[in-house]
Amino acid sequence: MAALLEIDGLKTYIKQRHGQVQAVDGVSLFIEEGETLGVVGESGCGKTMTGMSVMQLLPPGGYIAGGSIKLDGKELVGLSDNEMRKVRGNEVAVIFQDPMTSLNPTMNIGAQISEGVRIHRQVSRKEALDRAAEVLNLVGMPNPRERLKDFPHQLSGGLRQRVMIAMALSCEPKLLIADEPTTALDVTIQLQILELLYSLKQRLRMAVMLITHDMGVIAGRADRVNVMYAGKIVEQAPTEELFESMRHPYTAALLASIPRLSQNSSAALYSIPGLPPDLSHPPAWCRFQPRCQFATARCREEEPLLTGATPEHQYACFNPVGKGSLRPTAPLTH
Amino acid sequence: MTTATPLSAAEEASQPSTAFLELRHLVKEFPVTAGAVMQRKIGTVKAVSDVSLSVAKGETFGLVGESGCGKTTIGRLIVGLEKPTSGQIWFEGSDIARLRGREFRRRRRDLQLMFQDPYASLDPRMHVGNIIREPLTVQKIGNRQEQDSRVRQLLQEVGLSPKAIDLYPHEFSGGQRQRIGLARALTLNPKLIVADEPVSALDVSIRSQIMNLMNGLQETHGLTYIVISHDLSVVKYLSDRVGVMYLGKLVEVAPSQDIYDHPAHPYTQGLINAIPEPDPKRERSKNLQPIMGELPSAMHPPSGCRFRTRCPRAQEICAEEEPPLRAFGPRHIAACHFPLQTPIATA
Ligand SMILES: Nc1ncnc2c1ncn2[C@@H]1O[C@H](COP(=O)(O)OP(=O)(O)OP(=O)(O)O)[C@@H](O)[C@H]1O
Ligand SMILES: Nc1ncnc2c1ncn2[C@@H]1O[C@H](COP(=O)(O)OP(=O)(O)OP(=O)(O)O)[C@@H](O)[C@H]1O
Ligand code: SF4
Ligand SMILES: [Mg+2]
Ligand SMILES: [Mg+2]
Repeated sequence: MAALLEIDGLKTYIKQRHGQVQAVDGVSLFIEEGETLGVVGESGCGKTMTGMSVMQLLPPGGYIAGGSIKLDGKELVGLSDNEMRKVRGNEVAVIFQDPMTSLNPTMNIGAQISEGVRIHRQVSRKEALDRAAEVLNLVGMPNPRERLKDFPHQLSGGLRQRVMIAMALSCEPKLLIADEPTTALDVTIQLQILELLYSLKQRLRMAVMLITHDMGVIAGRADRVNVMYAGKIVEQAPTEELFESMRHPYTAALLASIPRLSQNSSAALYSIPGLPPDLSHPPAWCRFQPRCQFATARCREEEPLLTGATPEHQYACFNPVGKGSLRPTAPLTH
Repeated sequence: MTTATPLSAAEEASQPSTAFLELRHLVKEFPVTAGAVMQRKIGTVKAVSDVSLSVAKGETFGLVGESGCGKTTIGRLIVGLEKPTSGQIWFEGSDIARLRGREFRRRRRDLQLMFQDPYASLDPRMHVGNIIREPLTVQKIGNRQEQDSRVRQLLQEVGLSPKAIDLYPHEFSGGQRQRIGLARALTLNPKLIVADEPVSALDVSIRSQIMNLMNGLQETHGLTYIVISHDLSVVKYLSDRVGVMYLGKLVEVAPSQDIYDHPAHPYTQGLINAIPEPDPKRERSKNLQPIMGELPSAMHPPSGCRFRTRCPRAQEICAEEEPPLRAFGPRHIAACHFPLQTPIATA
């Protein structure tokens, strides 16, 4: 059976005054029905642009330069704006890091949620408002009926994110793209929102693309993980396997550089030297090569493609790290 | 801290402190105003509400807590960017909250602030060399040549090339800008650096570069750090001791490993539970009990214990009486009526 979402060889570029940014450069991934796929990587590696390519909500100058995006077997690349509008919100919805950017500050919450409902469903204004109160209740908003008349600025960050989730779920999409849904929130509120997303996902049997830079959030919430680096997927694996036996040096180095609460803090952290490459002139070889302590001559000559012993666990590296060898012996000096 | 004869509150307040840095009953209130044109005062926020703590020379003290709990305000009070509403800030034997004029400016050199994102706080039209040099120019220290060599030396110490001198802040990455911020904080050879969210704006792979750099500089310069962050893992990694704040109050202080191993305050425990760790087995076996509800308004904090509206252990007395700080170990204090462990004595 085909997956719910299948992305194949996606290239999303952004034209700028001088040249263009190759934000997403040949990404292939899939999400099964009801599954949570984690997409993790550092700032600028192309996570948001991957998600926004599915929604086809790209920034000015942004365009899909190649590849295919199939939702439930239907090709989305090349659809007209009108056709995409039917897909958005209905079959696939998105929530962002900062709810304020996607909430209308001049409209009350009831009007905003019910407007979304009425675009996709033939219902009366009254029915749409009832639905709005129902979804607000679903996302744990206290006194949902009364809140319908509130404006976004009257709510705390956590409550606003609940409103965003309510809006996204009002038409019961099959796929939710959650782009750093909790990054702007305090940890205690983050936990509430992550638990909420998880219980809603179970209840609505929805698939989630969970985009985050936080390996901790991935560890607890994703079924499978795609690790991105500089516009490419460098490793993909089931979550437990990725954390236990990662093969890509970037994944290993990233995990070794995170301070952990449960770890004795006197041990020095690994630190990855240097910076990611400029995506307007990406190298034709391994993009992690200048920062990689395992790099050999070949890494500067060819681009490593995704391979692996099993289709479930794939990595793009000529010198994959072995199980347990992730912790480099001494922290690199700067 | 045991004294043979306990001092009365008034006596204690009049004694000079022998600690390297000691905050005594520190309070900072801000007026809250409303209306766009006619600003009228509608109340006050106690951003810092009776906080006392002391920090030893060479120590790293971490302050952690959720947004608005008063961390930044404490940092700004320590470096003299704000004046306390009441209370004292003893630094090497003088109450710097009461210093004025030249004496104040001289003491301030020893206490520097490292900003969250130096890009947002530094003049984007200034060359990096001048940004680092500025404190020297302002304080009229050294001639041009001496200043130049100091700038070069500082750049080298924070791992930047001398080419940086003639570049602008926007030509640097976030991690490099944080290095510039560190260099500038170090220019006047301070004794203490308050680092407010030093790595929050940075990517994971860059964070550890900066944290390791901070640790290295602490050793070479004999620095004392106050590290402020909303991220307990960062604070725990960098600090010897950690203070947990909630709505303007210090609710628990302990050596950083003890804070994690044996928290006494339910808020600290909730905070620890809420932090996702990069370990699937651990995360999935966690029996999570999220801290309920939202942060109450800082203008109208709850009566008694400020955490009681979200606390799983709260009982009637929590609304009636403010819990005092009690000792749970040699350097471990917490303020809770129903702590997670038995206190050893009254602090
Ligand atoms: N509006 C835009 N205009 C031009 N370039 C952009 C724009 N948005 C993103 N980019 C570029 O596209 C690349 C990928 O960006 P993207 O937003 O997908 O990264 P991300 O992985 O989501 O990062 P973050 O963690 O910071 O959100 C980056 O190099 C970025 O500079
Ligand atoms: N200049 C000011 N005027 C009015 N209120 C202020 C001012 N500075 C801080 N506050 C208020 O004081 C309280 C404490 O703020 P502070 O910035 O110290 O918190 P914080 O712990 O640093 O939070 P964050 O994690 O968001 O940085 C907040 O309620 C804040 O709104
Ligand atoms: S004093 Fe009461 S409300 Fe406050 S933390 Fe302790 S048990 Fe909870
Ligand atoms: Mg993004
Ligand atoms: Mg702050």
